[in-house]
Amino acid sequence: MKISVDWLREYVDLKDITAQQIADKLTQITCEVEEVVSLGRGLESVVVGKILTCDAHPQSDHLHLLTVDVGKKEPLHIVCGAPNARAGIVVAVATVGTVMPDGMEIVPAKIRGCESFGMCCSYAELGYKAEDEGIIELPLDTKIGLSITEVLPGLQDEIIDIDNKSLTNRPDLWGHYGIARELAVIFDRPLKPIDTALVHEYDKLPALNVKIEDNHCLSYGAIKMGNFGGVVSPDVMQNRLYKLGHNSHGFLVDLTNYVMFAFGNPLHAFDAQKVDKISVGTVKAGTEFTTLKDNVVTATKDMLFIKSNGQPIALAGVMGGKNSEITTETTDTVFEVATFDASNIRRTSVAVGIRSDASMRYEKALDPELNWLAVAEVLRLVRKYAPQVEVKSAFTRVVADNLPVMTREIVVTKKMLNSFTGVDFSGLDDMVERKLTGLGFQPKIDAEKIVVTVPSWRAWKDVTTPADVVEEIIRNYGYQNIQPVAPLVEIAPVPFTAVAKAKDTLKDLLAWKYAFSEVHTNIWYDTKTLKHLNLTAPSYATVANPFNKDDNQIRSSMLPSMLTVASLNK
Amino acid sequence: MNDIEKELEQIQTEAEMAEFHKNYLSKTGKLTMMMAGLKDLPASERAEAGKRYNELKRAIESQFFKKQASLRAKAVNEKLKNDPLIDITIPAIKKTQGSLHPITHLTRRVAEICSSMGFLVVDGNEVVTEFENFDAVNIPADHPARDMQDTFWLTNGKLLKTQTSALQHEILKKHGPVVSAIFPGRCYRNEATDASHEFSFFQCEGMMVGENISIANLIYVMKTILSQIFGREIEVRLRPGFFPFVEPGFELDGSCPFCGGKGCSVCKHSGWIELGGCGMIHENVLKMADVNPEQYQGFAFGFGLTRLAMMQYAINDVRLLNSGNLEFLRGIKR
Ligand SMILES: [Zn+2]
Repeated sequence: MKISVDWLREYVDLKDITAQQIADKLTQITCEVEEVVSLGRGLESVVVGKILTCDAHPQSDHLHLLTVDVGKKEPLHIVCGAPNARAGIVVAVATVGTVMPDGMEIVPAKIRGCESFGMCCSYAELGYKAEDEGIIELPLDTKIGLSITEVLPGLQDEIIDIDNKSLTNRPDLWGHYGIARELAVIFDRPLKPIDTALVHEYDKLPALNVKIEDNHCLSYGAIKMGNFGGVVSPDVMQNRLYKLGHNSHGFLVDLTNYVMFAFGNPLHAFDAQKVDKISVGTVKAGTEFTTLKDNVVTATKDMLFIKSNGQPIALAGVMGGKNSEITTETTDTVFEVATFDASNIRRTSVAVGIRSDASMRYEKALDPELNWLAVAEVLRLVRKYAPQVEVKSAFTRVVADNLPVMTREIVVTKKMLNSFTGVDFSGLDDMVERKLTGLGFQPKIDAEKIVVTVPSWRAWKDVTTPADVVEEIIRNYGYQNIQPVAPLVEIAPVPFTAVAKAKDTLKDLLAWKYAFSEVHTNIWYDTKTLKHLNLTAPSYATVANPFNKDDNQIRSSMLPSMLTVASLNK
Repeated sequence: MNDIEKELEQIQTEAEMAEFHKNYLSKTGKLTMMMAGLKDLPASERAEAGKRYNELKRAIESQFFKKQASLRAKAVNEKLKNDPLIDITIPAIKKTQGSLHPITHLTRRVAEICSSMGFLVVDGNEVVTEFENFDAVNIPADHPARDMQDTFWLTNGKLLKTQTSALQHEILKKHGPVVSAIFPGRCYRNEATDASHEFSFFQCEGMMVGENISIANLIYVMKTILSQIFGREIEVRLRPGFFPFVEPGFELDGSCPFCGGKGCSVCKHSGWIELGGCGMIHENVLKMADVNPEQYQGFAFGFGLTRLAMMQYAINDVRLLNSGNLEFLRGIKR
């Protein structure tokens, strides 16, 4: 999973901490960082310029000759091929000496006989976002001569790539906010609280018709909004998604992806015209369903679907349907913010062969309480980037009738903490309290014990035993600070058993006295070889799912494989 | 005892050996009869007497076999000297040197080191039950590791063990709750083969359970074992890692044994190499083996013998190990 340091800074103060330090600390304390990639290094010499004149190139029908004011005494002469180049616009000019993200260095050049001292850049050329409709046009009042890195925050960033496997048991870390919480604890800095109160400002609006028919849907929330026509995805959103490897698909889809990467809760946007009474449950086995990426899925009796008036419109937790997809015509939308049972989603995802960003998160067992953070963020972003949008319903959220309340108290005695870790924690109460508080565990510490209340985002499948709490303490204490201690058990050599000795003797005798060579071979017969040798060899065990379908008989004779080895070595 | 020993010493021929065997060691021999007599002793004395009896019997047997071997060697030498058909001055037919598999060399070394530190060395089955491989090591029914695709299932419902951890349960039950054991073995994964993947590979798992076994002990034991395996001082480093059968779980790194931590191609210039996983045994694993986690705790560790062998012998393609290529296998030196 990719994490943007620039994005993290929105939630935690990381002043004076380098991306490499973040990566190292995460690897020591939280999860495995695979690499850190710097973006936008060396782009300081790309500056804001204004095109003064724009003439046709005498030798070319598509090149322009520009003079560009970059705040120096003399304007720069630049040959430019962009169709949108014209006098009066404010652009980003890579000056001579700039090394572009693709490795190309800007040098003085002669292009079809005309001299050029720089390049007007597109967003894609700067590595800012994928969209490339000619050169960047900045607001006309942008200060000429300013470095582009000051104009486009986020252009310079560091991407921390985390090994997904190391997040298997940490559903809370599948978004930037979760990682920010870890860093706040690691570096002892405050974490920005997320205000969800604005969700309730719409409580008086009519509720949507939402129903959970199957308790594998743990929570289902929906909110309807209108008037999205013409809203474009803001650059900063496109940039952040682009850096994580996602192209822009318009504001609504970008918004759902953005909020998922922020808080880890997947969202889906339906075209409101194609959605009426929502229910979540199964459909008749064998029903065919087409996803928005055109995969045709055949329902099993256990697969969860989101249904509108009983008709499936999304494969729950995996992917939306073609029939309710957002299009360029969509003006009104219903946002889904839901939580599904981890195992159910995983089985579905495996069965249909689709592994999406959503299913990957749901199969880790997400905290249903995340729904509130996610919908609050949707509302905050809509207010900021699409102020004309009208919220048309309350955020209507229903939960499974057997949904447990996830408050769990765990007691760790200090005796256990010390004996389990081999570290003497006396005198470290303050550190323990600070770290556990930062992680949300509300510790109460006295002379004998530490009592914690596990936060909801760690309570599902993650922190369930005293050892889990010990882990939270000891990893923040630092594994590298544990001194090796010899175990207090009697260490006496244990003799090998007679069978083991006999096996060794036999091997030694064969190899060193009789010049045999020990080989390892597959433990199943190779059917082709048996046929070739015209051998029938007995087998008393059969592999149900062999790699090659004919080779499923476990050998009880070594002869065929020995003959094969012999023939290979003749 | 002394009398019997003297009798044995004076024997000169095979025929006398046979006589001695009949008198003492055969089914009706004096020693065997003594054993039968033990059951008439009172229970309180029986155990002690049994022990002494076994010691005696073993000592006599061992001397018997030694004597027999020396008599036979003597006979062969006589024959060589006197047989007109045998000319011992002709050079022997030159035999190619045999070889043991690199995994055997490595497993033996690990076993010797660990047994000298008090670990039992246990040899387990390759076919195990679904319970042993998964449930007993806290991998519940809906866990991704249980997906059909990477386990070789047998038609009888058992499976080829996918990890040496499959033996944890049995060992805890049989030798626990206080136990130190290692269990090297062959494991199987149903995945496409390439230079670094094979259907089968060898792992070595180990565990130590007692009343106060700690993470600090784990670090100490890992450091000691690895330093001995590589024949030089190894630093170990724990990082967070997730394995269902331990909590907390760690990735285990060792300072690179090939460059001493300075950085080389083996360690990708980081000075560290990933050696395996380890952690404190999950309370569910202990409970399932009837070990009370309130009273006992301990650690488990595992590393890939195949990977270790590839590093130690600079093997770049794992498939060579199962290839039966004798030129390759004979080229491997201990
Ligand atoms: Zn190295």
